[in-house]
Parts: sequence; structure tokens; C-alpha cells
Amino acid sequence: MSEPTGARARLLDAALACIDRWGLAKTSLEDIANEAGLSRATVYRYFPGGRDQVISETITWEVGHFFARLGEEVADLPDIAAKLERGLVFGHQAIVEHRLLQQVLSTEPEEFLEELSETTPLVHAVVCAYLADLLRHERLRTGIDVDTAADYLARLFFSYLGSQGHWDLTNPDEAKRLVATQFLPGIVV
Amino acid sequence: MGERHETLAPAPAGGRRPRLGLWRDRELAGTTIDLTEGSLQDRILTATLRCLGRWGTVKTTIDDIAREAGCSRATVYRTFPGGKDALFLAAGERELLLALGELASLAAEAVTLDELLGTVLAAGVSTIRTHKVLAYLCEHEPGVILPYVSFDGMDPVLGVVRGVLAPHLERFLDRTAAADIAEWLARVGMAYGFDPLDGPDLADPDEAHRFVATFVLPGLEPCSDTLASASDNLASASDNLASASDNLAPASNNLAPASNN
Repeated sequence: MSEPTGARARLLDAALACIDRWGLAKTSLEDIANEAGLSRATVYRYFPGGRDQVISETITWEVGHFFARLGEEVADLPDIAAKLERGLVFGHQAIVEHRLLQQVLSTEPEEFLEELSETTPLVHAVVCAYLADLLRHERLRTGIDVDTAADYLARLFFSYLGSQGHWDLTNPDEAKRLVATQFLPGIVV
Repeated sequence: MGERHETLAPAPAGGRRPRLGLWRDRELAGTTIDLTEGSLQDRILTATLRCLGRWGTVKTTIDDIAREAGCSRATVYRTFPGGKDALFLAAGERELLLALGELASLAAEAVTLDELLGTVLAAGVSTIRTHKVLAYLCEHEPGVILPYVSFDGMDPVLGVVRGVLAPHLERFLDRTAAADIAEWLARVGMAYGFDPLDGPDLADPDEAHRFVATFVLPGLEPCSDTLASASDNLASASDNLASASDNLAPASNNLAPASNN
């Protein structure tokens, strides 16, 4: 996905500001156009689907940012184990500290989660491809299918990002134990 | 009394009933629930589920539920204070408790750790996939379900699954590993149950067993010394199931104290 520029980026930024101020359900196309200082016609030129398309692309864009930051955070780490450990700690913290995310989760969970779930197949595919690539650089146990393993790792990673459950993911040692016992023991030699 | 209800209610002496409030619903917290088939609560919650599966949360009314249950509106309100939303949560919580009761009996019957993990995982995923009302809501009103399976919203479910399954896993694993893997089962069950995407079909017992053997067994060290205390742990397993929901409800909401011991 290439980074949107110009009017498109201004509209996505404006949509985020509107969601922050008025919430997801109450944000209208006019609000977004006004916030961006553009006309309704311009919004429709960039987003023929109107308000709903702006909102859904804004969420996809923000999710993309999140995973881009996560990718940068683990880029220099030597192997998949180190990347997963750091990714769990960093990702957990980023989600807990994401003010707008926490706000919509507590005020409009239904609307927001429906929108977010639309991005699931795309995000899952991107993360699976990333993990599969990492796995191809590891020594794998006999009989491991890279794509099935990447799919498992992605699902487990999303589950722990969403909620740490009874683990303490602010603690790197716990993340290490989690990766060693549940993520990689059957996959990497 | 149906067999599926008995699996859930291995009631300790005193006939303790599970208490609602898993999702910290203020109206429900502390309401005890009678899982006996044919009881008033059972009839109302079964009627609620039927209506939900037919019309969803928006169109279902208390009148519909009362008619389906064969009782008056007033009886519905008296039995489950808090109106429609409280009733929906109660119906959802009962379904979860019934499903967990079945998973717990499968866990109790399993002879080996591999068997326990594979069987429980397949049954859990299969329940999520084949539950008609759940499927209807996921398809037509996903926003109603998603808050309970996403982000911190999944914590109550993770907690109750851990409480019910960990004691069974302690037959094979030390206490920490048992709790970890009980939570793993809940996470993996939900991840593959709600989002099939292109992943393996874990509702199929053979696939589930292969999956468990591939991804999680290699990370576990069964401890033989825990076998000695297995029976103790099992005794507490059924207790955990009975008290699973009241553990999660705030203590101050014990409106209906459990019967005298």
C-alpha cells in the first residue's frame, strides 16, 4: 500500500480528527469535508463511496500505520523469536496507549469493531506473508508447512495483541516464555 | 432433565447454581441461574435464543420472548431484571456455560494430554461454527458479538475457560503450564472458530489432533509427579465451573448468596 498524499491524505487525517471529536457514528461527510477544508464534490472525487468509504479507508490506513511502526520496531532484531517477543511487548503497549482506539472501543465498540473486522482478511494476509518470509530464513522442524505455520503465528499474535489475558506483556521475560512455549516450539528447531 | 444440562451441573452438596454476571452486567450480577430443563429461567432463555436466531437483537421484543416462553411480560421482567439487553446477555452466558460443561466432560474423559487438547479444541471450534444463533448474529449483527471476542472484551471468556479447563490439564501439567494452555485453547478456539479465513478446519478432530501435535505439544513438558494430585484437582474442576461466573462478578453484588454449606 502506498502512502496517500495531497487531498486524499488530508481527508483521511480530517476523518480521524472528526472521529476523535464526534465519534464514529456521528461523523458525516460534511464534517470531514469541512475539517479538511475541501468541498463535498472533492471528497466524492477521491472517495466515490462517500462517507462510508472515507471511514473504512481511514481505519485501514490507521491499522496500516500501526503495523508499519511494529515492523520498524522489530526490523533490526536477529530472528523470528526476537521479533515476536519484541512485537508482543511493543504491540501490547501501543494498543493500550492508543488513545483514539481506546476511546472508540469504550464508546462505540459495535460500530468500530464491525469496521475493523472488514480489515481482518487484508491485515491477516499481510502479516502471514511477513511471517512466512521470516520462517523461510529459519531452520524449521521436519514436516512444517510454512504457510500453515505463518497462519498459526499470525492468529496467535493477534489474539495476544488484543488481550494479554493472564500474561504480563509489559514484561519482556514473560513474552520470551510465551514465544518459547506457544509460538515457536513446534516450528523452529 | 436433558443429558446436556447434567454435564454442566455437577452440583456440589447444597445444590449451588452458577451465578450470572460474567460480562459485569450490573443488572444481572449475582442472579443465580437454574439450568434445569423446563425451569422458568430455562424456558425464558430458550425462548430468548429462539427469537434471537429468528429476528436478531433489534427486532426481538420482550413480548415475543414472553409469547415464545408461554408466560407474561411481567414474569420475564421479574425473572431477569434489566430488560432486553440483560436477557440477551443471560442467554449468551448460559450458552457459554453449557458449552463449557460439555468441554469439561470431554476433558475429564481424556486419557492423555494429546487426546484432551485435540478433542476439546475440535469440540470448541465446532460449537462456535455450528451454533445457529451465534452464526445468525455473526452474519447479520456482528457488532453484537465482536465486543465479547475482541481486545480486552475477550478477558471474561478467557478467564472462565481457564477456570474450567485448567484443573483438568493439571492431571498432566504443572499448575502454571495448565493455566497457560487452558487459555491457549480458548484463544486458538476463538481465532479459528470465528475467522476460518484459509486456515485448517479445526472442527475436524483429526485436523485438531495434528494441529495440537504440531504446534503446542512440543512446548509442553508433562510432569508425572502431578498425576498424584490429579484427583484433588478434578474435584475442584467441577467447583470452578459452578462458581466460574460468580468469581468474575463483583463481590458486592452477591445478591443471592449460595446456599448454606
